[in-house]
Amino acid sequence: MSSNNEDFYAQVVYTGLSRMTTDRNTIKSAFEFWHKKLSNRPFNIKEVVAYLERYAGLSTAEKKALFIAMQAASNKLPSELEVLPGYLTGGDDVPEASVPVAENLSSHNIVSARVLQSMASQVKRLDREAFAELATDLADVGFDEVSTLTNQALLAWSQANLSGLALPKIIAVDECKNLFHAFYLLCTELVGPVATDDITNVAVAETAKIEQAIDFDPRDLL
Amino acid sequence: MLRGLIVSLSVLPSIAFAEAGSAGYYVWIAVCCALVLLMQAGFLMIEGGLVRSKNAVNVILKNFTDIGLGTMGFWLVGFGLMFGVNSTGLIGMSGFAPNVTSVEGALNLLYQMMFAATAATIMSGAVAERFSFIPYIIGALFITSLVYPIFGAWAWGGEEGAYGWLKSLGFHDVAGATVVHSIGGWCALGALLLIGPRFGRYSRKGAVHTIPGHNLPFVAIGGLLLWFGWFGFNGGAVERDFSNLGQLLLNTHLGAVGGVVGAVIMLAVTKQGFLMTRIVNGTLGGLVSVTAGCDVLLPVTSLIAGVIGGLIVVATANFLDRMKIDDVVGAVSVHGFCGAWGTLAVGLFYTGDMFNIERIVVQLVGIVVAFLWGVGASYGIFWCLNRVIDIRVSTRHEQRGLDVSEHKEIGYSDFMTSHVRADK
Repeated sequence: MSSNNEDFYAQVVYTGLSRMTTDRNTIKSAFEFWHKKLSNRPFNIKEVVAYLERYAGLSTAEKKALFIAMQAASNKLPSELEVLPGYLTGGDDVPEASVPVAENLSSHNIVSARVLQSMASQVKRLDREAFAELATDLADVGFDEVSTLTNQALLAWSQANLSGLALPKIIAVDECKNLFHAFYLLCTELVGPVATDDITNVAVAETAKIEQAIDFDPRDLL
Repeated sequence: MLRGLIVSLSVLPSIAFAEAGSAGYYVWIAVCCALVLLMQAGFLMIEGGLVRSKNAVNVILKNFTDIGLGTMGFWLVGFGLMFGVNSTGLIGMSGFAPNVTSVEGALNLLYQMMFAATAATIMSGAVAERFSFIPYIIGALFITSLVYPIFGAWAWGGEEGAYGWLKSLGFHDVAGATVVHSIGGWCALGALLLIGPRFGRYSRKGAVHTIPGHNLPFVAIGGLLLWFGWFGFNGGAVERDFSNLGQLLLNTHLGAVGGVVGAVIMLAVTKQGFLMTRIVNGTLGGLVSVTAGCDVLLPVTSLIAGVIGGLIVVATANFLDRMKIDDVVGAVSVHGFCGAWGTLAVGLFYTGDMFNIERIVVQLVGIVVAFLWGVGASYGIFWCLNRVIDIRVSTRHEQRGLDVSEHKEIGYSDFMTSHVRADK
């Protein structure tokens, strides 16, 4: 892909994202994801939308808005499109420094991390040996059902002795569900199905009290 | 005139008794039909209580639907295979979808339909919490339409001069310890071997995780309902003149009593603690143990058979656990193994002809054939079904529970709100 083309498609993606949301952090995360993963591939709007849907957990309305805006932008000349803002090109108007990290994250991201963290803490209280195995298994095996980025986050989590889980900034709801299920199975293997159900119920009840649970019910992970 | 009146009055009761002889028999068989149907409530409560709350609706519904579909299949095909004209000794070839209207014919059909439903429903608890609903009911239909009646044709089928081949050998199983219970238990074993344990039950590193039932009072009530219903199950084998009714009912009760004693002894010996679930199952094992021979055993031998049945229930449940065969309710132990034992007990304890080697061998032939037929047919049916439709639910469905994933209903919606959302 020539540099001119890449610049044009970057404008198309930015236009689409800016029509989909006004949240600069979301735009930045999604744009960086596209730049890193897809900018070297032949440009395909459907593929871009599908990838962003998977990694950003877009709603149907967001997906539709993104697709239509990119479709319209791709039929225009580069000069007719908005230039990329500074926070995407490394300029000085980057807003993230003043924004707490949590604000970068979607509700399902925070809720999922909280549920898993709570489950791990309960395994620790229940059975120290199982807790040690849980950390080892997470580091050794990883989960097939989730992305490399998420597995890297889990590896970091296990290295931190299962404290302070931070999932990738962009993670789809479906991936969160897969992650929860894989983690549930691992706990079941270690402490048994009944204890795992109890742990899950407590984790869900605890997480339901946080603010983000209003937007994303932790029971939707199950 | 007075003398005439006295003579008349003295004759009346005997006339009334003679007329009531057949009427009383029919009423009793009708009562037995109802009692055997009531056993389904017992199965339902035991199985519902022994699963986790997230699977209660599923296993209860399986019990319900296999009564409906199973008995329909039996009426349509099974009855003819089992009791139709059996010139080869293998299967009956007449009487399919029978439209009987006579009192005797209809009652016999109804009674046999209840037995068929019992054979099918034994499996549902064993494979609970991971067996998909649709394949289960299809399998239950095959069991009541083919597997159970074909063995039944061998052991009970035919008529004078053209009996089923096992019956011709002298095989004795008056109320179905092998025909109903063992076949049901072995079918469950075949399905269990194919489907495997619930996830997490046996860990890869060798740990055995107990999964207790969610409602043990249900289990106790279910056990008593079965005990009660068993008087109809065995009592239906009564002679027309009721001459053996007392023997049937007393032996049935003593079998149950023996089962309690045997289970308690075995639990004490193995130091497992006096587990209610095992003792209830021991009772049922005792009942199964006298089902084949309640007409030919003495009260004392019934008690002995029951005690040994109770021991067998506990021992075989532990054995299956060691073999990593995850039988949720202990159906294979209660119905499979105790059915086999009860059938052998006929050979050992036949009143007036104890320890007759010839009879023992015949009984053993029946036991082995039932095992091979039940396990093989069930395994084959579910193996074939599994080629077409997944018989096992996904691990995600196991996690969520089959109530939500298969029925979109929650058994205890008032206090399961933190679990899953039935509307999703």
